[in-house]
This record gives sequence, structure tokens and C-alpha cells, in this order.
Amino acid sequence: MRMADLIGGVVVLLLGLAVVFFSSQLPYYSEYGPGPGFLPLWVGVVIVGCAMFVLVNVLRKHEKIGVFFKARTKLGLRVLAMIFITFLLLPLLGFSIGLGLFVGITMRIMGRHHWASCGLTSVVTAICIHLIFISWLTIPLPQGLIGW
Amino acid sequence: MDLLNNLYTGFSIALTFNNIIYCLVGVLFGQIIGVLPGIGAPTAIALLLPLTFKANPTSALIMFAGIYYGVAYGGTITSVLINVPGESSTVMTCLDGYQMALKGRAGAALSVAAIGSFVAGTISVVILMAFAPALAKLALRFGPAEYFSLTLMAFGLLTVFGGEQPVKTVISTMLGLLIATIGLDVVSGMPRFAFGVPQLLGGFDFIVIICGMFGIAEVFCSIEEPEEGELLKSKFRLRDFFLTWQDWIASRWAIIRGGIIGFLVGIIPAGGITTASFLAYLAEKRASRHPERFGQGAIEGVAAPESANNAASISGFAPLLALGIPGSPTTAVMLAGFMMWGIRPGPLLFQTKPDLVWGLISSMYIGNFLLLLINIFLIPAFVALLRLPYTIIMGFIVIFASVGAYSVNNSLFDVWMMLGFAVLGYLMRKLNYPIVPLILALVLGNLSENSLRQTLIISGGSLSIFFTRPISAFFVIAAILAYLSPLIRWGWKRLRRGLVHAPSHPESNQSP
Amino acid sequence: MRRNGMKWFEVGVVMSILLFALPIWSTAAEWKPTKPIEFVAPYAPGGGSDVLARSIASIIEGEKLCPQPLVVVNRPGGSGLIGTTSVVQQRGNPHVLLTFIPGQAQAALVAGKGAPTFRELTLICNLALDEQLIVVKTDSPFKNITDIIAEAKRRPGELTVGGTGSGQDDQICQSLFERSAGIRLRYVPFKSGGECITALLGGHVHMIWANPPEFVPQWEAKMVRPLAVARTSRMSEFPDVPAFKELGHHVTYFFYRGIAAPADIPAEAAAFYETMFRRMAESSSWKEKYLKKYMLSPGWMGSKEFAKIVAQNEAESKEILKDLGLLK
Repeated sequence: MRMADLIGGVVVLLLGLAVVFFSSQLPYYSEYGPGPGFLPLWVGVVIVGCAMFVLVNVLRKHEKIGVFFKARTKLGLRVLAMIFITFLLLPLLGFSIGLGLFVGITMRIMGRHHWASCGLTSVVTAICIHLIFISWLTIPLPQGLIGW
Repeated sequence: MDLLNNLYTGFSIALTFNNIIYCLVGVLFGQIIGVLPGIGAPTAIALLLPLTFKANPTSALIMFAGIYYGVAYGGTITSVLINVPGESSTVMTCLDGYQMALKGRAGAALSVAAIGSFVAGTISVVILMAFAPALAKLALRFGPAEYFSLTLMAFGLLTVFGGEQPVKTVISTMLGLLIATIGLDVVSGMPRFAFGVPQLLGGFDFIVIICGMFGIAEVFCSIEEPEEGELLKSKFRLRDFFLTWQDWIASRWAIIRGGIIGFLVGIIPAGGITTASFLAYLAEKRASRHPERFGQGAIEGVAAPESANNAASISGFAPLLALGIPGSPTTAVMLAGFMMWGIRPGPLLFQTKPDLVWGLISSMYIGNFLLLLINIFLIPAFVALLRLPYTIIMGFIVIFASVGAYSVNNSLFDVWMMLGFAVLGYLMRKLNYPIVPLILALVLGNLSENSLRQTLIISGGSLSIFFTRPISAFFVIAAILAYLSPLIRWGWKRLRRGLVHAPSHPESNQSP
Repeated sequence: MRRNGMKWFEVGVVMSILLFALPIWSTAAEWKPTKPIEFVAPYAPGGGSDVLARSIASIIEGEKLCPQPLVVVNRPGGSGLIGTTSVVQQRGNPHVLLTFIPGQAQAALVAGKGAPTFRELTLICNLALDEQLIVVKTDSPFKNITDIIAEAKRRPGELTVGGTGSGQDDQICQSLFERSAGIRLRYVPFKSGGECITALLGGHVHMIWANPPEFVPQWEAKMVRPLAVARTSRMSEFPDVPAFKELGHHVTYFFYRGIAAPADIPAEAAAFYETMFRRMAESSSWKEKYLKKYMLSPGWMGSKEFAKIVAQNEAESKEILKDLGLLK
């Protein structure tokens, strides 16, 4: 956790520095008051200051507080990867089929439900998404190569 | 007597069978739309506009108004059940509502939200009826200077999120302000942090961010802490749907206070429903004797913002009806709706179309009552959804969040950004950076920055304008007190401890 | 053998006729949309562009001018640039249309790199002209434009003028006015026309630039009054409000409201849309349900003329934006 906090602090610090750099290229002051660069610059400065404070705090304390990687963190990352892949496939599969498949596959992998019930849930979800969002609410969701 | 007369006219119109049906369709549709993030009332009304061309204007407007305030009821459901706010105005409900659900009290959370909304909504309609024109005039006194002081005070209230690491609260607030600056700057017209990516020119929509930071990030957290998922199912008894006597006691003042704050913020044209619910929550936490209970499933934390958002959605009609000024994107669509029938809401509307105005206002009583009934009866059904295996609930969350993010601008880019914010939210949670300050800064950031710059253009660069205008001065003083409050509280505690203990236990003074 | 030869000869003739005839057919045959048309309004529901798009969609449906429906899609944000980008990216797709107003061209200029310009679009036609007026509160000491000029000369740069956005129509009109009258005013940018009129009614600014629908309800209640309109002649709806031209000021502004499609769509498709919109603009329901209701002036322009006006407006805006320091 200490390491994670440290890395977090460094990332925030770098972000702050980047913000300071990019906002210094915007006009700081306009005719009557702060310009577009005013707020971002100060936000950047405060972020840098706070990040340093966090870093000093972490470095000074030595006791262990909590853990970053827990027993099931891997599982969470796996879900993230699955969402990522689903989103990649959305333009090809369309929202109804893509998200329907996602529900079925996560049920199978995460919940270890029976194949049949996973498949059924997939189909029902896909139909529901299509009927509710595309047919009824006419949201122009991507419909994929199959066009559904 | 005028009021009674008007009330009679109003009800005689609103209570016709036809109009009750329109009202019912409106609130039902609003309720459903409210559940879906990304599709807000503006889109819903725009969608239904063409369908109502055959209806008469009063009926159509009754329906639109129903959608408008029905949305706030609907948004609560997903906020409480799956931590995905269906509308931006129900974000604050997530904080304690979802915690209540984890403790098996989802039913109570939804009940108090529905009852609070009904009470605050009904009282708001009464005040709206009696004082709409006067309220609208009050709204006009809010110029850029007042907006800035108001946001200054709201940021001051953030000190209640101090927690163990105030520095992280500050960082989180700054991140929110930073995200709010992305895109074209209204005052200068220049792009900020867009890096030549055209999709970034519009900045990030609030919904995209909360779908990620609340909804999907919650999925990762729940998987990591399997107890959460179990908690949802374990305690599940019918009597948990009802409010206990303690709940009533705890939430009655929260409903009243939330309603008042919501009503006041709602009449300010740029105030908006979301701001109203934020302020109500923060104020409630500040007023509470046990602020530490907030965020752990305090029922007041659901009652206050829910009452506020409904009160605000109703008081938002005051400037629209009395002056013809749209205060929010939704009222802007209502305005467009009026104009499609060739009606221009404005100062003359009360005289030229009294039956329309009073029929519309009266229908709000009926609409709120219908919503209360619908919600009370449907709560067990909604709560039963939590019995589904968590893997399915997780699927729901992903579907709602991604369809919600997509439908904001109808673009896949936003869906990706939503996932990015989910990762950010997850990491922030793990590293103990509070998320609420980020969200609040996001809501208020643009208003705050733009109004400061507008004020200074108007005043020619002089800051004295903030103190010479009474409303603004009031907020500025409140803001200063809020910023100093941790100090004041600390000093007061020392002082009191000193007074109580000093004579009998002089040694206690030596402890720091 | 002979029979067979004849057969092949016949087939050859038919084939060659077909081969020659095909291109002729495809040009001669009128192009028609084969699926619903996505009609992008790059601003939020309730705004001027949204109202235009929805009115068009319902009138075209009512008059049966198009075999496929027009489906209005709002893609708001970034002063219209988000929606414009989404159309620009669909190069060659003839089933997408976009509402186009000067603000989109001006915002693209200020945003610079990466922003979509009208050069990456097929301009179809202009449908109407919106009007820009200077509006004050009824109890304002300014009775006419001359009052404003006199006061502005006494207190240069102190009178405040509200307008929507920065570097867009309202501010450009104001710059034109300042140049022509030789005065300096102070421009206060707001997010929407609604916020502008609110600031005016609350007395937070001295005057605002507004389009008719933005102030007519308050004007009817005698809370505000327009002082002048930025065009060469008076508007029939406001016969008492002089045009800047009459007062000797060159403040004319073409606030076009037109239609565009992605670049590289077939010429036949562009022609189809131009004809369709021309028929619509000639219909009586267009005049009743749109122009009259929202107080716009008719301003039909075909694609060539519209392209000229858009380019001209952009050049003019560019020059003013440079002057304002918004462009390098």
C-alpha cells in the first residue's frame, strides 16, 4: 500500500506539472480579469503542492497501512479486461449483441452458472436492449455488421 | 380568494380523465427515463414532442412536466440499487442510498426518497402557486456575482469531507476543477487541454464521468470485496421496506431542510437540480450531530438530496412560467415545447392563458401523488432485483453505464472515456482519495469560473462587487465561515473543554 | 453452328447495350435515400438549431418530400464542434445531414487545430436568416442607438453588452457596431441566450444581443425593447425598430441557418437534398410553422450561393476575430 500511495503521489505530481506547463501557454490574464489560463495554472500549482505533501507524508511514515493488491484484485482486473474487449467489439457486434454476450460470458466465467442459463440470459438481454433502447427509445446505438 | 379561484380552475382542468391519463403517461415515462443514465428529461421530451401534436397544448405540457419531475424519482432507483445514478440529480443519493442497500435497507431508502420527494414536491407546488411571479423576481437578482459567491460557499461546505487526509480531498477537488476546464472555454472561446482532439472540445459530460466513477468502478470494488455482494442478498425481509419510527424521526427535518434548499436553488436560473441536491446533502451533513454517519448509510443522506431535487424541479417552473426564462436544459426544452404550439411562456402567460398555467400547476399535485403510489407499490419489485446473482447485476451495471455514456452525445468515444473514468475512480478509492469532492467540483467548476470572470468583466476588474451586493455578500460571509469552521470548531471544543474541566481537573489542560 | 453463332451474336448485342446503358441509367435515375437519414443538430435540445432540425423533420414528413424519415440526433457541446466533427468523419455517407450556422464556422476558427471546418462538408443550401437585435430593458435610459453611442463616448469601454459565447455571432456584431460608430463597449459572454436575457432583466448588463425568439415574450410584456436590428431594412414584426443601415451604421450580419452533408457524397445525392429542401422552403407549412412562429426571414440559397455566403462570413469573422485577439 505504501508503494501504491507513493506511485499515486508521483502520478499526481507529474499530472500537476503537466497542467502547469500546458496552462502556462494559455493567456493568464485578460482585459478585466482572469483569462482562460488562470484557473488551470493555479489548479496545477495546488496539485503539485499537495502531491509533494502526500509524498513527504508517505516517506516519513513507515508503518504498513492496508494492502493494495487483495486476494480478488486479479478477478477485478479480469472483468476490466472483459469490458475492454467488449467495448472493442461493440462497433462490429453492435450494442445489443455485444452487451448480451458480455452478460452471458461473465455469468459463465465469474459465476460458473450452467451454459444453458448463460446462453438464455445472453439472448434475452440482447433482445431487451434492442427493444428498449433501439426500437422504443430510438437511441442510435451502433448496430454492428449484422445490423441488429 | 384569487388563489382559491385559480386552484379551482386548475383542478377542473387537471382532473379531467384525459389529462389524468396524460399526466400518468408522463410520470411513468419520466420514471423509466430516469432509471436510464444518459437519457435525461431533455431527450425524453424532445422524443415525445412529435407524438403530442394531436393533443391540446395543456395536456401535452402536463405530460412533459410529468416527465420532468418523474425523472428525479426514477433516477433514485438505480442510485440506491446499483450505485449508478440514473440522473445527475441523484448522484448524492448514491452515497448513503447504496450503503443502505448494502445493509439490506434498500426498501427503506427508496421509501424515504419517494415520501421525501412527495412531501417536498407538494409543498413546492403550493409555494409556486402562491408566489410564482414574486419568486421569479427574486431569481432575477442573481447575477454572475451571486453565482460566484454561491459556488464559493458550496466549496466551503466541502470541508465536511475533510476525513483523515484533507490533502487528498484538496487533490480530488482540484482534479474535478481540472476536468471541468477541458474543452472550449465559454468566456474566451479558446480550447483548453483538447490537444487537437475534436471530441475533447466539448469537454466531458457529467453523466459519462459518474457512470464510470460510480457505476463501473463499483463493479471492480464489489468483486474485490465479495462481502459486499453477499450483503446485498443476505438480509431481505419484508418489514425492511417500511420506515421505522427512528427513520421518521431522523428524516423529517432532513426532508424539510432539503425541500427548502432545493426550492431556493431551483428558482435561480443557473442553479439547477443537481446543484440543489448537492447543497442539500452537504448542508444536512453539516447540520447533523453525527456527520460521521453520512456515507455509511444515514437515512437523512437520502432524504435531503431527494427532497431537494424534487423541490428544485418544481420551483424551476417559476422563472419559466412567470418570465419565460429557461433555467435548465430541461426547461429550455419545455420552452421549445410551448413554442411549437405557438405559446410563448412569459410574463403575460398568467393573464393570457390562465387555464393552461393553473391546469399545469394543479397537475403537479396529481403527478406527485401518482408517483408516490407507483413508487411505493413498485419498491418491493425493484428490491427483489437485488436477489439476482451478482454476476447478472454486474451485467446490468455495465449495460446501463455504457448505453448511458453512449447516449449523451451518441458517440463511442464517450463510452471509452467512461471506462477510463471507471479506472480512475477505482484507483482513487483504493488510494483513499474521496470521490465526492471531484464530482462537486465538476458540477460547480464551470459555473464558478465563468461567473467569476463575467463578474469581473462587468465590474471592470474590481472585486468590491462581491461585497456591495447584499445576496453576494451574504454568501461570501457564509463561505468564509465555512472555510474557517474546522478551526472554529476546534477552538470551541478546546474552549468548552477548558471551561468544563478546568476547575475540577486542572491537569486535563495540559494534554494537547 | 449458324444458330449457335446467331445466339452468341444476340447475347453480345444485348450485353453491349446493357454495358453502355448502365452508366446512363445510373446518372439519369434520380438518387433516393435508401435508409433513414440521420439529421444532426450539433446543439442541445431546445436551442435554435434543434428547433430548426425538428421543424424540418416534421414538415418534410407532413409534406411527404422524402421517402425516408429524417431522424434528429442532438450532439451538443463545444459550440457545435462535436456534432460537426461527427458528420465530417462520415465522409461519403449520403444518409447524414447537419444543421449549419455561422457559430460552427467561427468556433472552428478559434479552436484551430483539429476543428472541423465547412471545407470538409458538402454545403447543401441555406433555409432562413436569423436576426440580430440590440435589446435593452424598458426602463433603460437608452431610447435609441444614438443614446448608446453618446454614452459610450462619454464612458468608453464601460457599457456592458451581454451575448452568447465568445468570438461568435453576438460578439462579431458588437465589433461591427463598435467599428462603425467609433466606440468601445464591454462584451460579457454568457453560455446561452436564456442566460443573456436573464442577466438583462436582472439589470446585470446594460444591453444584450438577441435573436427574436429569445426576447419576444418579455417584449410583449413590455419588460424589454429592441433598439436596432443588424440588417439593411426593418423587420416586418418590429416595424418601429430601425435597421442599423438607416441610422448610418454598417452593421449587417448574415446569420444563416443552412444544411450541410459530409464531403464526397454523390453529386446526385446533393442534388436530391437541394431539391427536397427547395420544395420544403416553398411550402406554406414551412412559412407558417417555422418562419412565422420563430420570426426568421426567408433566405433560400442554393448550394453554390450558400457556399459563397459561408466563405464570405468566415473571412469577415476571421478578420474581426484577429482584431479581438482571439486568432493569431
